[in-house]
Amino acid sequence: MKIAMVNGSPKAKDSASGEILSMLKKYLCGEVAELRLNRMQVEKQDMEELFTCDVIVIAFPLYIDSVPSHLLRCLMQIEAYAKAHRQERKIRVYVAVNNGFFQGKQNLPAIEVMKHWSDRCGFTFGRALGVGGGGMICFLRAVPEGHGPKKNLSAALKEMAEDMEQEKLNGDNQIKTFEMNYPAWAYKWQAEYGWRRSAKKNGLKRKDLDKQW
Amino acid sequence: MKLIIHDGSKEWEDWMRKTFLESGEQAEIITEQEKIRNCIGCFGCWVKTPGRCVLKDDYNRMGEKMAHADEIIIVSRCVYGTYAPFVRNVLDRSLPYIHPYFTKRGGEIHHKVRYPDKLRISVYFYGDCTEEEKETAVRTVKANVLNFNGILAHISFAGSREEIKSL
Ligand SMILES: Cc1cc2nc3c(=O)[nH]c(=O)nc-3n(C[C@H](O)[C@H](O)[C@H](O)COP(=O)(O)O)c2cc1C
Repeated sequence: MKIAMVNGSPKAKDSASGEILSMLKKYLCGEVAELRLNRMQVEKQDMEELFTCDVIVIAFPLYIDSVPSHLLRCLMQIEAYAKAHRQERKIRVYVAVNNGFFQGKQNLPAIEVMKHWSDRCGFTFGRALGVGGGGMICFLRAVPEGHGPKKNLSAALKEMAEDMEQEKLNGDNQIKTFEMNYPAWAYKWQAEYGWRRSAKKNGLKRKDLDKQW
Repeated sequence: MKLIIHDGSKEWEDWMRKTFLESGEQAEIITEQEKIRNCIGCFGCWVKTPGRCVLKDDYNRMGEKMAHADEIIIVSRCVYGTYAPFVRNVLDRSLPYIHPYFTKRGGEIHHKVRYPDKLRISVYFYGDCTEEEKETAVRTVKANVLNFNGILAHISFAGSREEIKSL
């Protein structure tokens, strides 16, 4: 079985999506191809590679309650390719969306978009995760899997990896949204502190954050 | 002033004016003319040039354009239960409209507003889409309205762009 791990974040490095995929990878034993869909086009070789896989897992950030626009363009290209090249194998799709707000359920509309896309491509929709509090994921690299704030995320990824390898489909339990194991107030405090610190590094004052044009 | 965002060509603008504006009414129409760049997730619009996108193209002032409008009208093909890529792209580039800080709205955490006035938001979807896709699109628009601290004025689905007029 071959799995395509697709990072749909446009960030060059330190994306929560990339971190989620590297956590997932620890639970997988099969062959893995790592791809990035961080531009408006799917490169020819990436497109061909995708269609050699049995499973496609796409991790991406929530942008304005939906799928980032560059990724949406890529999804449409993949649909066109799928229609032009009839597949004998039925590709299974897995999704992990993360968002900046604390609540994972805000990822639901984007997950539904992925399901509609998968249906239109003729793929099988496997499982989807909506991970709230994505802003902290990259700061948790040193935390062992399954511990502390990573508890829910590790458990969900482990389950997802098992599904992929055992070719299980989950009927009504396909979609799971959850939060990091961390207090919401502390997440808010740290996020806001982070914005002030970045602004300061850019030579701005605290009140510059409120700038109106 | 009205702000119209649509996924059609330049030729649609006449149609937009006739359909959505009173005669002589001012509007800013956002059309895909220049190549639009995609958001790169840098948050420069919050911490480098707050309120303005740092990417250099014709679409880096969406935050203030939204702030100066009292109503936003979106006309878009419905794709998988969301907007067409160009419209999604414009919305991604509108992140500077909001403020990085968090606040509670409707029992959920959302962003604080940068501009206090409530925006009226109307969305006219068109194109072939399934019932499930329509449901997703409605959910997406409602979530956007909450995040942009707006008021949902209209949402509808038409088979084609021409049909929108008869709604
Ligand atoms: C343009 C833009 C729009 C965003 N919209 C939302 C949103 O609607 N809801 C939310 O919770 N987070 C939103 N975020 C925050 C991202 O989802 C969050 O930072 C995420 O952790 C980024 O993941 P990545 O590191 O994998 O790119 C947005 C970020 C950007 C840059």
